[in-house]
Amino acid sequence: MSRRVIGKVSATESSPTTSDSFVFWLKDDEIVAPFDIVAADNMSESITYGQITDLAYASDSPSHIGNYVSSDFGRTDEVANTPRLGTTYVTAEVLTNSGDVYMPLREGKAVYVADEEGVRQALGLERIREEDRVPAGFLTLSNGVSVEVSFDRRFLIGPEGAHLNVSGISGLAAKTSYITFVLRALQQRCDNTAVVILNVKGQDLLHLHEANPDQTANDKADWRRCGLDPGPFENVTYFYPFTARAEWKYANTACSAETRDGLLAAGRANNFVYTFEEDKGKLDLLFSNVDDPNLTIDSIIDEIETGSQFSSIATWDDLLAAVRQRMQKGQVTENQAIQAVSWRKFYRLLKLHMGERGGLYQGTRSQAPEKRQVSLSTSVAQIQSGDVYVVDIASLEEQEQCLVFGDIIKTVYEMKLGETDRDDVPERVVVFVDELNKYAPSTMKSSPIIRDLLEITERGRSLGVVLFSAQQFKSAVHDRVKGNCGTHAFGRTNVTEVTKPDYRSIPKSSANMMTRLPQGSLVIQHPPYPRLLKVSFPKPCYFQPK
Amino acid sequence: MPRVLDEVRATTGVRLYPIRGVCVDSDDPHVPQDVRVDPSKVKAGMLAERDAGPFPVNVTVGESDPGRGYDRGRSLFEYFLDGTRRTFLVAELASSSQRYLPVLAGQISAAVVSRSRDTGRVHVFRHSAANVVALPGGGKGINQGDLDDLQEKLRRWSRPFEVVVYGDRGIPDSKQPSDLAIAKINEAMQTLEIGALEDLTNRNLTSASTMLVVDGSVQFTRIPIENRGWLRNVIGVSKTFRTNLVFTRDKREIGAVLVETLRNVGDRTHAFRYEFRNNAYAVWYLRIRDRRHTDKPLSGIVKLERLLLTQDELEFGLTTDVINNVSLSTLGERYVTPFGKDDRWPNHLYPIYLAERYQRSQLMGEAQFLRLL
Repeated sequence: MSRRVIGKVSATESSPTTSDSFVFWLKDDEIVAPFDIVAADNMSESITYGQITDLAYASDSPSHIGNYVSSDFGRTDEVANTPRLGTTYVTAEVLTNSGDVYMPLREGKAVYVADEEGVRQALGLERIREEDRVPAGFLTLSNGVSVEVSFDRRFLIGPEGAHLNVSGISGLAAKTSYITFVLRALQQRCDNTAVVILNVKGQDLLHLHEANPDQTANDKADWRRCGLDPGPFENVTYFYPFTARAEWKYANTACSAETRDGLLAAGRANNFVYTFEEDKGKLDLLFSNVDDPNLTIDSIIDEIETGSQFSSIATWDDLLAAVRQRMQKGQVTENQAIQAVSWRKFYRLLKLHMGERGGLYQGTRSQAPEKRQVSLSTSVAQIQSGDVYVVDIASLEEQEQCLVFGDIIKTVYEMKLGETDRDDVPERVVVFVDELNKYAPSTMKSSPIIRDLLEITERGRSLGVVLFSAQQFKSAVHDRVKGNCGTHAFGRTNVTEVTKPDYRSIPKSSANMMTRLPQGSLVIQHPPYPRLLKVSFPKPCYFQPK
Repeated sequence: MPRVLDEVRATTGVRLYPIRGVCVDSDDPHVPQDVRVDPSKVKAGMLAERDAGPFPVNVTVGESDPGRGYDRGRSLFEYFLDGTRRTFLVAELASSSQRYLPVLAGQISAAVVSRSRDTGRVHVFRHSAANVVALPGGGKGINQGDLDDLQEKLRRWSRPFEVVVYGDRGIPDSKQPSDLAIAKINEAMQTLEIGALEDLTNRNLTSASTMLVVDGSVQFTRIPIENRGWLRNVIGVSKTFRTNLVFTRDKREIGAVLVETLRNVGDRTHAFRYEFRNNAYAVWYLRIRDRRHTDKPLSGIVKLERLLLTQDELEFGLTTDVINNVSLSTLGERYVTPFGKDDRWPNHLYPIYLAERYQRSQLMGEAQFLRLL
């Protein structure tokens, strides 16, 4: 290991070194940064590795007034013959020790920057089995040392731990790019894994199968450095919401016409619909985000599903008509506890979505080949290992997005629970959704989707249902849902966000650093790693329309 | 691990009564650094400046930035020497001559820092340190032969000690024995400082434009006459000084002269001549801080001192140019200051302060040192 000494351990009465941390002063001409990894010799010929968490510069001036006086009482042009004594103190948290010696470092021990081998040892990268490594990006130190970092598959998609949550400001945090990088890595590294992706805005994720024309040779080299092929996703199938507009090829999507038409023609895209017959049991998902403190909507849906007055209904139109009838005063109903005013509210909400004919809600599925109508849940239940299903919900209303997302996770969960005749169900199914706060907001204690998400995040790791999620602000997400995520990534965020309780366990300097992260850099928290790591990752492998 | 006092007891047979280390250093910042100067030896009206002009002189007249002094590029100063000590009363003993006398021990050191003309950063150029134990000798203390034996043994220790003998010329009733012991420890410290002077001279590092600044006086009385040349390029700067010396013809004490005449930054007195133990010195006072910003009338005035060496200097004194250049160099050292850390901040030269801090940082901790005893 190279030994470029950059400072010496400083242990004082008021700031002693401990098993967990140490402070060192930095040579005047050295530049280091939070998250860098340093090393120092410890007892029994062992090496203690530490991660820089904080930097502070102090001079021997006891006060600002002292400095003012030192400049001839406020002269700004004054140049001191002897610059004031000062040094940079660096705080480092102990990552590991090569000999399992956790004795505090002694005063005056030389501190040097870790080289590639040192970084690997410090992070315990070698302890992750080759077959379990899923590339997580590069860790690049201030001294230029760059090391590929991997997730441990067992902790990323189960069974030891599961679920990945990424947060950060839109655009700057590169959340989607990072998750698709990890998903592409999973597709290449993990057999028997399938992926379902929800496209929630624009055409961000509607070209996963197309190579990125902006990918340079260096970008490709970055992918190869991670041991990955830089090509786009394989085995991608798209699902667009159905629309009656023939000129759009019946696809309610923001995807460019050329790509959309090509995919539909090639049978790699379908338009999904919801029919009353097949999907009436999912009505609750449509009202996931509706505030329902008295469970009135729950009761109504229950009556629709089980009540004799609704048993003859076959279409969504019939349903609307039946509900409209129930709104009338003086109606004799089975469940007298539900008042007419509640039915009226329910009708309004239902009409909002189903009032327009020829959209997502169909009486029955069309057999016309050009319409390519499919049932989403039926399709998802047929997913194969290595498949990537992209479900476009960008053009749907928020309630409808809840319906589709809830439908997908319910379907996947039931498939993994064994409610299928298939014997080739993928071992792991990863569902990726952006804007998780929409489906599991911190302000809502329970909803049909939250219940399903909790099922997945709490029990999914053993079943093989894994949630990859993202949102701008972690604090906006339901505590238990995010709390069950084993791996977290933090992109650039804002100052207010880092003051929230979610960031309380993160060292203040690291949290503050998150407000300054450059685009394309994230801080990851992964169970096998003792501390947070700042990583960068290769540019996307697929086409991202501007 | 053997301890020093055990060794003293074993080697000399003296009856020792240990004390749990009482620090005897005076941190009083108001003790003048020229306390050894005897006012009765000062002859009023004797100048050591040739062609002295009107009094006071402002050394910044003609400078482009009055009050600034020389920047480090023009400064004559490149090396800065400081000595330090930490002394404890560690035991008392009953001597064979029925005297009850103190035993002191301490750490002494001397350091020279050099300053880069490019960056202004200081680096330790030379540092020497020693542990000392002061024991009474002479007719009223411990037998000299025993002390010699003790010295031989203590020098062989992994952490060697030097034996400093006080009272070897008697212990007059008018003086405190502990003061005599401290004076001897100071002499030992001065020996380390002299070692640094010798080293710099032998290596030809100091010159008229790369001078050494000493904290306090340049009255290194232990330098042999023939080696006085070691002080050729050395300037003493005292932060505190006696105010009752009489240098001027009008017989006013220097404090009264300074408070009334050195009003502006850069004002200095003439260089006065002062003789002490066969040496002659040029001494002058310089205001380096604006009086408005200091809390005492004489704060911001330092005393500068240089040994007169050549026949020319001894007869006529220093030239006004030399005195002014040294003064302007001193003026340039005002920034930065240890304001808030030391009451004497208006008079500190920061590189000297750093040399002192370095030495303090190298001293053993109090508990560790006392454990050796």
